[in-house]
Amino acid sequence: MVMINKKTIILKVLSVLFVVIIWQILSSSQIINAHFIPPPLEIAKSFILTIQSTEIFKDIYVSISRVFVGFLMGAVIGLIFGVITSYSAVLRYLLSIWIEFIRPIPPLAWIPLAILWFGLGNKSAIFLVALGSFFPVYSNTFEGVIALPKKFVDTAKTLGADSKLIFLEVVIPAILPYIITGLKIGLGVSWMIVVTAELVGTTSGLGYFIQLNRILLQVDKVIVGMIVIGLIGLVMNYFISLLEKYFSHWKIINTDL
Amino acid sequence: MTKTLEISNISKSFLSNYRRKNVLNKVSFSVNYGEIVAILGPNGCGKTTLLNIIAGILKPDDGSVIFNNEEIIHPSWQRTMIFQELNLFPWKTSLENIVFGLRAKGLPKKEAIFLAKSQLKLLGIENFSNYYPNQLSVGTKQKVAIARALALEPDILLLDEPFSSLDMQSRELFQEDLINIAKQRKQTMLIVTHSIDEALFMSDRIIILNGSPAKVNAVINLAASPNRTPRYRNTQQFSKLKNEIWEILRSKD
Repeated sequence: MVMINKKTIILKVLSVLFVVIIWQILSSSQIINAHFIPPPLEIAKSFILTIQSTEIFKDIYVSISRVFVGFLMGAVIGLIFGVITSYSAVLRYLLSIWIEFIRPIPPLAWIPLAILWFGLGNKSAIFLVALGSFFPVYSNTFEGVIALPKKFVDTAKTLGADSKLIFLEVVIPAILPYIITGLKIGLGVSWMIVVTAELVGTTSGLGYFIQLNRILLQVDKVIVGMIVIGLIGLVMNYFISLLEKYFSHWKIINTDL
Repeated sequence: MTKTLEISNISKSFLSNYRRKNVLNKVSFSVNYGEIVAILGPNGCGKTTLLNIIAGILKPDDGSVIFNNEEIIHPSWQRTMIFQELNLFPWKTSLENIVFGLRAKGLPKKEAIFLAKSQLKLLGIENFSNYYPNQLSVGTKQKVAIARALALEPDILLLDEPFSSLDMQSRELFQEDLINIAKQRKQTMLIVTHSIDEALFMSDRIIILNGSPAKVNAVINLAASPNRTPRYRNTQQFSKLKNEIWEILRSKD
């Protein structure tokens, strides 16, 4: 396992180095126009300057806190709706027609309404994030409860388990992997939505940082903003993967046997 | 001999494709303390349905199941079951699976862990305590399922085609092991099987269930049979009984 990890890390580093070096060579030989894409060295310089001036940290903080609040709201509501609709057939049909109707509307199409309802700023962005994270959490939770094999519940009963023990040690562990998949997708969607929402509907955050620097014609800073967005997304995904590993480690088959 | 389980006039039907299908028709029999009874019948004849009713997972349309002088309403560890698919919880290790059963029965955690460990040792699988079911071979999984059920010391152990996932040789070895443990403990057992050999080798009494809807067609008493050593399978008596049962199954089809 250690060997494989080392190997994958080396490959990843090599891949990044390769692209950056080629890019630098193409820029230096002026095959790529620096007005459209500045060379990596310049971006690196700009990146360090941006970090040093600390102005970007406020935007990072604002974006992350919007995602945090919006995602939490969307996920909790998605979780509750997922459980309710999987247990009650009546509620399932009453609610699902609306959920299935609203799902295909991109959260970004809600921007005009969001601004109308909540004005420019935090509330609009949080609303859009909540909307976007609701659907993946909702549908994965729903699927998890529906897929819960009755046989495990029956087995627990024949061992004498009461409903509390069944809920805690059979139902929860069985549907947890589904919920975490929903959270993972939801968080990814949230991060994309917050940046997009900030491009139009706010005056702070990483999306606004990009938009502002576009107007100021600072392409290097636009790219720095994009890199920061990508890095933060990567870190978020990493943490959720840890969670996923922790709660579905029993799914991993030991190939030693 | 006193009865522990008494089944009278059980009928059960299911709705399938908008038609009511009768599965069991007035099935009656009883099981005494310490007895090993096999329910023998072809696949799909309703044996598992009958076992689920006794376990308390399903309710009969008609008739009654009396267990230790009380009507069965709920599942209970006193009538625990080893399922055909074993149904080990995949998110729990071997040890945790057994501990879960003991805690479900109502034991405190410490005692449950202690008992579970000794049960794993009894079946010779203590090295697999911390393995998850999908890391285990079919045979070891089988043993964990047996350990989980035996640890509860149920009044009656229900087994639904318990060894059907094993190959022929392991199957015979498992039958021998289980019968030894059961005889030592005087464990009452009700085994559902489609294998004449299994029923003959393991039980004191065979109840033949067939027809559609299924009913009890014959009861064969084997209590006077010799010891269940591996050699018993090769005796003339064994093959004679086997042929007799074949005849019954054939004629009533």
